[in-house]
Amino acid sequence: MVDVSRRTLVKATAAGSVVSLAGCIGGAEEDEESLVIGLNADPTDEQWDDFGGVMGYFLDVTEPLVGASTEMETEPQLAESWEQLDETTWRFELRDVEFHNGEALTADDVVWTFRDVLDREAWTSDWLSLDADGMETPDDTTVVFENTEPMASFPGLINHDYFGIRNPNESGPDAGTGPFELSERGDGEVILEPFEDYRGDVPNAGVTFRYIQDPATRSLSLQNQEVDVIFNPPLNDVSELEESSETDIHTQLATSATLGAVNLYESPTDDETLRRALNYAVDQEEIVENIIDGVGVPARGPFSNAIPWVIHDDLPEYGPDHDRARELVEESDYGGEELVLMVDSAEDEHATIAEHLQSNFEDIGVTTSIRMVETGAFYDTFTDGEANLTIVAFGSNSVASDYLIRTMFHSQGSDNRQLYEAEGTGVYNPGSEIDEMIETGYHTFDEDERFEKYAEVQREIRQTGAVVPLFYNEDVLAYRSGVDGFEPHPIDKKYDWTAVTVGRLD
Amino acid sequence: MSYVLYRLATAVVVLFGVSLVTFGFVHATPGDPAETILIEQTGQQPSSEAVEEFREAEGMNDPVHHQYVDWVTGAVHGDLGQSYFSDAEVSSLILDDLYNTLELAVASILVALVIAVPTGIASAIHQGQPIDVTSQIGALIGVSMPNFWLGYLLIIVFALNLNMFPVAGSGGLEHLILPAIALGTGMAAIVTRLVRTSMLEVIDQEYIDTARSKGLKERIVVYKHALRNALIPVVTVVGLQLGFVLNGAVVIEIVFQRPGLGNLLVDAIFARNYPVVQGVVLVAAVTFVVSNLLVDLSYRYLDPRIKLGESQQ
Repeated sequence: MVDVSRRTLVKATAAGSVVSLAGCIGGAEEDEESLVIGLNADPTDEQWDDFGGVMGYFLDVTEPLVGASTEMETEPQLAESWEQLDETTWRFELRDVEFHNGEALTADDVVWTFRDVLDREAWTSDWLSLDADGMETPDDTTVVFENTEPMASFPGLINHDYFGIRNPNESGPDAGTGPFELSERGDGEVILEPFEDYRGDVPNAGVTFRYIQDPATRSLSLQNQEVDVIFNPPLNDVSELEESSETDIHTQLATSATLGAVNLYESPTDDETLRRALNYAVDQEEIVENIIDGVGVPARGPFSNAIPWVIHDDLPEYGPDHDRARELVEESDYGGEELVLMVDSAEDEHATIAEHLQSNFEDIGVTTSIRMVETGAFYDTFTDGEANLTIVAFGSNSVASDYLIRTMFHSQGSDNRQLYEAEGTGVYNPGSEIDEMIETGYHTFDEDERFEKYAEVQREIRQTGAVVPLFYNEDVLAYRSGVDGFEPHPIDKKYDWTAVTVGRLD
Repeated sequence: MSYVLYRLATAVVVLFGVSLVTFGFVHATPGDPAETILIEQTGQQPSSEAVEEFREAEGMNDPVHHQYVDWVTGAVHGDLGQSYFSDAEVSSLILDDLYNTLELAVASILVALVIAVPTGIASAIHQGQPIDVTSQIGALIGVSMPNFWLGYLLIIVFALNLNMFPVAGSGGLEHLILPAIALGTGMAAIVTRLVRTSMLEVIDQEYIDTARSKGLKERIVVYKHALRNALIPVVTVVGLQLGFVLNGAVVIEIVFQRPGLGNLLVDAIFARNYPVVQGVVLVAAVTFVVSNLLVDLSYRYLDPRIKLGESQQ
């Protein structure tokens, strides 16, 4: 046995440590050809595993039949064209494209994908008005869908990433047809490479999606050049990142809006006069400027202005007008009860907004308490109607945003259904008249009529004070100077990275 | 031997209690997991049929005590169940992340000891002198400083300004050093004070005076005679601190974006993924109980005067 003195051992350990530390200096090295994007959602966690780890969100590995333009309109993607045969029947003609493994895309692959999604996610059947046996393949490049009821927005709905078409013979990297193919995945990271045989422009660079949960760490990683792009940095970092010569900011109006959903069936907010008073008390511009640092657009209605049928400009502005609000409080049946304002504890700004609203409401003589609810229980508590006003943010992940209006304001919409079915009430669904407007709009194939019905709903919602609009959300993208060529999109998951140039300077 | 058996038996009772409390708390948490999970997956409130179907498929409609017995029976056989979100085995999810967390825990304990032992000794030897005052102030700051804040501070200094380490990620020593320092500093502060106190007590013992009177060098007296006995309570505290380290790892793993049990647990709690929550807590409890058992058993080795489980004569 070698006799090693303690002193020698200490020296050896110290030397080893120095060598190890020296190896660390300079930080992590990145592949110069790959764009690294820091995400605030884990692209490898279990919920993304449904489709062999190549779930369409963000990744551009699979493609849906129908694409979404930056104007939020449908456009051909894997389907070259489509036509409506009658009120419930659609025929889609497929492009001549290949999967990443070289196999040709066929109509059977499309049907298999839809049946797989309908089987895994049973709720989608209701959403699309489509049963598993509601599809036929007259030939290899044609798919006919038979809806269970008229569904005018069907092409837009199947733009959702859930319906990215997959190869039934592949469960992993070669399952898609998109501009990127999967190279590696694991530990919160997905590495994509350009699909060299892509039918369109082959991407300039590979893309690595890396999950960085903490907003501050995401921002620091960008500043340290460990990533090239990050979504949603902390709001208080935005101006610093914008002013820095090494980083830049892009803000993009998103499809989501933040609002106070008012419980129409719980006293005292069941009083329309009081609800209107609350609306007069709120200054949306002040919230945008002072609480969310200008990253958002003051709202007049419950839906983001990025959605084509939204009538922001035609909606009335309430104020702010605290004198009028006080008059309305006087006119109302309000007797000094304490309103409950509920917020999701995971949404930092929402708590501050609630405090701001509390102060405004106090000023017009309405007392409130703030209830913070942990994320896991938040939506359940909201749909249970446990608050008078709940701060929520809702948006759409597909080009057909119609489902939002149904989800939020129809009595059978998912936000209201629980209480409607149990007690005949709901949360912020004004009632049968609005339900009928939504249904007419939902099923009509006349776009003008649909938009007009949705406009009526928005006016009515605003008039009755069923919501307190706050702001239309903006997605913030911070990126390293030198990164160029990405195409933003109102749906953050649909940013186009194919033409991006990395421009890394080492 | 009887003491070991006694400790093993109490460990089983403790783990039984932990399993009961964990299961009870998880099931008493507000929010229907079936609804929460379906909302998480779909972005919408699910239909009552979908909720019912999910509950039935996951055995949530069984009486709670049946669910508990099923879970414990499975756990005893190494089967912690499956995640609600996928078919992934909870045990494999835990094993995937356990290594990263243990790596961080061990590294942070090493950091704590490397800082605390020399500082505590120096502080005791030079009691009341500037080095003692400085170390006590340092210990106070170390105890008071939130580890996530120290984490950001380390990132700004050593990653952003000095470019010595990466900000986030895992794999390799370069990704371990800053998180280990951030997590180990709090423990270092506690252990420093303990080493100091313990050393002061030992230094006052007669056998230390005897050693000095025999003409031994002060270095030999301190390191060979005093330190060995002074470190016995330190071993206890370091063992107990494992729980603290696992707690702190939850935050540190998020700040440094390291995969680990902390991240797994937090995500599972927010998603109401009960099998994963129960599995992680049980594994953490087992780790804690086993480490305490090892600490107790190590006493006898460290100090032959201690006869475990026998009344003092």
